[in-house]
Amino acid sequence: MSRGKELLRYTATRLALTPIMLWLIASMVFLLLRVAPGDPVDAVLGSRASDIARTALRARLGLDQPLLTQYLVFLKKLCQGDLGQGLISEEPVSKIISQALPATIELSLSALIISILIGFAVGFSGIARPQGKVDFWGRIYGISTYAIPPFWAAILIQLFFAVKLGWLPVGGRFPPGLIAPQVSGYLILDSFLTGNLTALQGALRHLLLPASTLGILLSGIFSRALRLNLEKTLQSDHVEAARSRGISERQVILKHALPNALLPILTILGITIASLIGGVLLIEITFSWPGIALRLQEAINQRDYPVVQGIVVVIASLVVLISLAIDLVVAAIDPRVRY
Amino acid sequence: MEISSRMARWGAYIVAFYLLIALVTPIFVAIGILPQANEGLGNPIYDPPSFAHWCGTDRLGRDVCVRTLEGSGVALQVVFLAVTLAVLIGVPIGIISGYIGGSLDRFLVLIMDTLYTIPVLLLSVVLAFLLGRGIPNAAVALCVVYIPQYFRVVRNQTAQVKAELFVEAARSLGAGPLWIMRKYLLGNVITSIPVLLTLNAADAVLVLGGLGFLGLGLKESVPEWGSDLNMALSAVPTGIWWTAVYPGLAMFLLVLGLSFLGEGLEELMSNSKLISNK
Repeated sequence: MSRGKELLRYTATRLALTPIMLWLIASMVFLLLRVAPGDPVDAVLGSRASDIARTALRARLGLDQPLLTQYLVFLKKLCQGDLGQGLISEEPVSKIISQALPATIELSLSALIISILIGFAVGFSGIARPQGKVDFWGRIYGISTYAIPPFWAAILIQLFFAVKLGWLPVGGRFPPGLIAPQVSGYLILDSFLTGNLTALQGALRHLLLPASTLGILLSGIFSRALRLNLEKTLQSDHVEAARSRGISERQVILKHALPNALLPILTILGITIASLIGGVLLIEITFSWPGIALRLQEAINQRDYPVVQGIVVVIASLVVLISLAIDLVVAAIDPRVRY
Repeated sequence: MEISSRMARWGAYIVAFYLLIALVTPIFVAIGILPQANEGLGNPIYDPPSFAHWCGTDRLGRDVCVRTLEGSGVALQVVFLAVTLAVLIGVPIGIISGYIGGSLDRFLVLIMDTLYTIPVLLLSVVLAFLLGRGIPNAAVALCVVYIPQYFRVVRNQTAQVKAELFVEAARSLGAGPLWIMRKYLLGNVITSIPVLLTLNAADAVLVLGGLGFLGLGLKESVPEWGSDLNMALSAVPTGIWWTAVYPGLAMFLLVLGLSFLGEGLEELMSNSKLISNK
């Protein structure tokens, strides 16, 4: 089969499998929440509520229907983008999510940029002299950043930079008492759009600690991946050929090895998304960053089933879609990928 | 080679140290050398580290040192239970799926791949939310997260080994599928388990801590590092550091030890494989 056809087939299979995966995730979450011990009605009304009130709420939530009917209604609504209503706030779940998501995305993207910058710096300095001191400490750095509990790192950073030195705020997303610009929900972008410099400064000051904590924690993954890939490409034939032509080592690394080592980074990025999500959940809570994780924790504490269900389905679907996109891009630009 | 064997050795020392602490702490508490982990009414609250309380006391006057020490036993128990369960479930399913193949295999792969895509922490949060608090509950919530990893590794290896000549020979001599799976496939596939198990254990310590930090996982009275850190979080703005530093440090070192052990083992094994191939 020619490469073009192969690629087309791969893309088609992946695209066809994705809705099935999304459906599986939604069904799993639905089923898990229904078989779970504990009645959502109890969670709202308390276990001492009267039978009439319980039956009424049960009917309003559709819990008196057979499980299959509930499931079909859930799927139908899901396809229309309707995730139901929160039990406590009675707001549509999709609204709760769309209000919290920009904060999470803003934090994630900033952390990702920081982690790529640091990860590349560490990975590069290690490869300059393999098995040397810098290389050894680079590897230790890689494992340590993985081994640090994210919330502990966040607490230590808070204690030092916010409490002891008092340089930056302990938590939150925006200085209290200041009016946040409201355009898209992305505060940094909005401050730029409205030309509000005080708001920009406030937002950046709040973003700095959580984003760099998460960025440092994730940078280990990038430094290790870059180092491993560079080592492999530096031993390959075309790099050897470049060396034997008398090209300086610096040129060899930058011009001949790096482009080949960069591609797997994209694959790593796909894998990192899952760790990023886990990290964001914990960092948000530690820094009381008003994103999706804070809402999820709130919903868990209130046993607000529809909100938990909606947030989990949306985050998991986002992860599936992002990894799909990255896999397809890698397949399209890397001729070595076999499927 | 040199670095990896040194890493594996240090990892083993650290893990052994934690096992020792887990064994010795309950004895010390029982004979009265250390105070009870939940006893705090007689103590001042948020007392900084002193000779009486080496790591200070927390919001309820409980001794941070004892809670941190007892946490290692708790974490090791849950993680050991979770990872063992994941191996016991993931390995057989992987072998069966890889050996039988066909539509059953495709179905299982799809299910496991879907589970694998969901971020570990998110999946365990949902499960822990549903299963409630307690050591077995948390272990089950964690084990489901790791089953797909064993499944993937074992299934792919089984599919490879299945095509080997000796399996073909056994089959032609009249060996049944169960016999082949147990006798020929399990032995060949099992070699990749120890590394994965150690690395998963490291990850599971972090996830368990994450669950505790989110207010899920174990019962509130159980001295668990994650939930103690959550309690410490509210004291951070006042500059109280001792309630946060020690439990987190204990968790960090255990994860570091397990990661060193796992990574060291991995490199040692891949090196020895290369040698035997030549």
